[in-house]
Amino acid sequence: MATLLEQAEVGPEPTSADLGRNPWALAGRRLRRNHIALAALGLFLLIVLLCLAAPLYAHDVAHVNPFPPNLNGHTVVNGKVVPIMQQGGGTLHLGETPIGPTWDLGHYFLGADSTGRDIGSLLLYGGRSSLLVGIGSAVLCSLAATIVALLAGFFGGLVDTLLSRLMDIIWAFPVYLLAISLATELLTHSSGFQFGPLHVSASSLWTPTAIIAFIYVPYVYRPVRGQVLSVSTRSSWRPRSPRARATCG
Amino acid sequence: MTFPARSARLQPRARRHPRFRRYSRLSAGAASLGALTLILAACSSGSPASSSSSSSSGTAQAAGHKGGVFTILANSAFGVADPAQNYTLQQWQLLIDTHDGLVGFAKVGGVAGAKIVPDLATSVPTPTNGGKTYLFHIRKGIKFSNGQTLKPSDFVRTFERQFTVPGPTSFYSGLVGASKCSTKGCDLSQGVVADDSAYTLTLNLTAPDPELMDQLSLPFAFAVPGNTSLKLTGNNVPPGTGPYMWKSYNPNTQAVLVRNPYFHVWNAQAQPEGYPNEIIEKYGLLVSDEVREVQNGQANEVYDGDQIPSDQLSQLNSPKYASQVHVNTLTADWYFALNTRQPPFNNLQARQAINYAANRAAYVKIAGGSSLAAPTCQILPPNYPSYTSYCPYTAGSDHTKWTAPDLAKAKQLVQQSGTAGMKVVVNGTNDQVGKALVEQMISDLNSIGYKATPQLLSTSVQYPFVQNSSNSAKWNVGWSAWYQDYPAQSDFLNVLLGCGTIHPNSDASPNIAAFCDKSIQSKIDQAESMEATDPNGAATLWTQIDHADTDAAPWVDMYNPKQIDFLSSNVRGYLWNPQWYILIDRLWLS
Repeated sequence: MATLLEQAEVGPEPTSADLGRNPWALAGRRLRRNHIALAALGLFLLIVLLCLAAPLYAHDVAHVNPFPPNLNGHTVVNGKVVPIMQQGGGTLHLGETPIGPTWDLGHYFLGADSTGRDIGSLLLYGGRSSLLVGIGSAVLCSLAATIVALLAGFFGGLVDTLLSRLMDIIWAFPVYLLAISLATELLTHSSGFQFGPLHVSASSLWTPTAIIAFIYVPYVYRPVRGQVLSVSTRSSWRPRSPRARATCG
Repeated sequence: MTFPARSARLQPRARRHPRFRRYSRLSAGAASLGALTLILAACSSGSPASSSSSSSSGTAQAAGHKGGVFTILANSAFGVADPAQNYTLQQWQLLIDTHDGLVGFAKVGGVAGAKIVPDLATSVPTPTNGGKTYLFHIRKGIKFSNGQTLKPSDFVRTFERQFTVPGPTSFYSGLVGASKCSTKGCDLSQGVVADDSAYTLTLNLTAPDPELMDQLSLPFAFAVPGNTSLKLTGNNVPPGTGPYMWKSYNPNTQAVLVRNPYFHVWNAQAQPEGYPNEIIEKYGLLVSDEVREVQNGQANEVYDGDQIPSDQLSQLNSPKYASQVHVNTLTADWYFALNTRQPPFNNLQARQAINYAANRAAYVKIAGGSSLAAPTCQILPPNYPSYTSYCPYTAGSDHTKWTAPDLAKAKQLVQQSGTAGMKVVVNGTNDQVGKALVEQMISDLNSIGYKATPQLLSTSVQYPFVQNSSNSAKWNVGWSAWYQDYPAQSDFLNVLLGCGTIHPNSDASPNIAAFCDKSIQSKIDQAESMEATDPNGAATLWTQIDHADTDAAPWVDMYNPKQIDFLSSNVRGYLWNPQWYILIDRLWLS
């Protein structure tokens, strides 16, 4: 009976049209046929482009500096100059309320926050941070897991055992609790922390990126190690004993 | 005093809680009984009840409103609970309900609340011996909440603890023997003479002090049992003689006050019987959530030291909250202290530069707008003795009030000081308004060439953190606020900027900037000594000191705030006391 790994390798039966095509072309063809996936891809690319264009939007379209407070600033709404922070009404006149969305790209499109900053610009800049953390952590995780899995799968034996047990230890922690614990320790030092020769400031996005990458390494490590074992077993480079191939992971 | 967070000195129709429903039936019955009693008394005497029977009418009125659990919501706790050290309005508003001093500010609303009346003493004494000796007769039959009987000798321990804990000792440093007191020990046997058989207490001073009665009215001088530890009691509050006692205090969750079973009214002006059966102060919510809970009737008060976010304040303009919102003028400062121990602000030009650059209009907006704050440059607040409007750090030539920042002048001073490009850490609190103030200060600093970063701490630890000199290397600009302890110029100018109020390695060192100018200090000492003999001369000298301190720029003074109290719709009996602000135990729940 085929092992689970061998069954997983098989995949759907190829059609005659698929024969002779390379995998990338096949994937592209399937994507072009899936209109919902195409629409989602288009939306994603639009978001990425808008976020990358955040400095352009803030400087040349909205004409704002999005980061420092702007409590005493003014903007134009319907042709009239109005304060960004507007005093409360009634008899007490308590409070200062930021203006809401103007739907004017050049003047506080989505309104202002409680310190008078342009929400539209902040949203785009925030998107850059989200993309950086998301893509960065995925790349870091894949890279780290691949390297570790290659080492474990290629060398086998004690190296494989030690690395696999290390991954098991990380995997044993509930993933969100581990992330929160690491974040609490690493992000609460106002002066940042030293990592060997590297100094990482407290506000650096590399810290959450590294944390997210770290906690998901075991999840990527296992299938990659499995593939490495499979390839190395079938190739003539490193014959494997049946016992080693059957090792869990 | 200052608010923690807001540091020391520093809520449609209520839903009925099952417990409250029971108390409301009881209180309704008691109210009827009380009313009947009043009617019968009036009929039999043929005249209105006189003020001399304030105890009996106070008791009848109290009986009519007693009951319920009054819940206060605060963003964070007030730090250490030991009354010998805690210098926060937040705890003081509760301590005045659990403890008493020899004398106290009348617990009434309006200007009458600034009057000092006898409390545990039978009368306010007239000094003898050239103003250096005060003889107090102590009331008999008063018990602490643990059942111990109050004796005059208990006050000896009270004053000793001011030096051994330590507290802000400058208030009582005039007692004979105080100069030799320290955290290692204190012998005030000459300065605080107790006679437990005659039930008298004599205070002997090294020099006349016209502010002594004010200082004895502060919680630092509230009586504690004579066997109270000389060391800091941490979060355990020693027993007191007030109408309430501390059932528990957990700075992570809440403080609970319950009725003191041994209390009886001896002077309703100083210490009346409280209305709520229990007072709970809960911690941990965002201020915006506190407002929502009070709006929904889930709690009764947003702690008046918590700054309601400016955009949420706008909701309170609605006519439906008209009876729940109370705005009062304060004698207070909100400011950023400049750390004069560390560069760049050990340099006068650097300190003056940030004063010129500070956008005080922006700080006022963060505080809630011009209806709740007025920009200021100087130390003394308006309507305070010796106040004369003065602001050198403004654009334009009118130096009586602030109009706008002067960035050109600020940048010039930064260049002259040689501190351009230096890193600056701005310390503040992590509540919504605290963060906004810190962000604005960072923006002001960056605009004149510094590289500023934030350091946000919980409100319960921020004030002790910036006071303690062991943290001095970790911050350069530290937020704080100060509300009068009592209406005396020294309470701002000497307590906050005097050389004697720098206590190294102590969490009670209110001169946060560590500012000490010997020439200004000598004028302070002179003004204090002139108070009794030449009050007008002293007042003029205090004005000069205020202006000199402003010129030396140990602070960036932002604004003078007004106080806003937001209460739930079922709260009645609101009183504004100029010393203690809202009188919590005088509120009742309808």
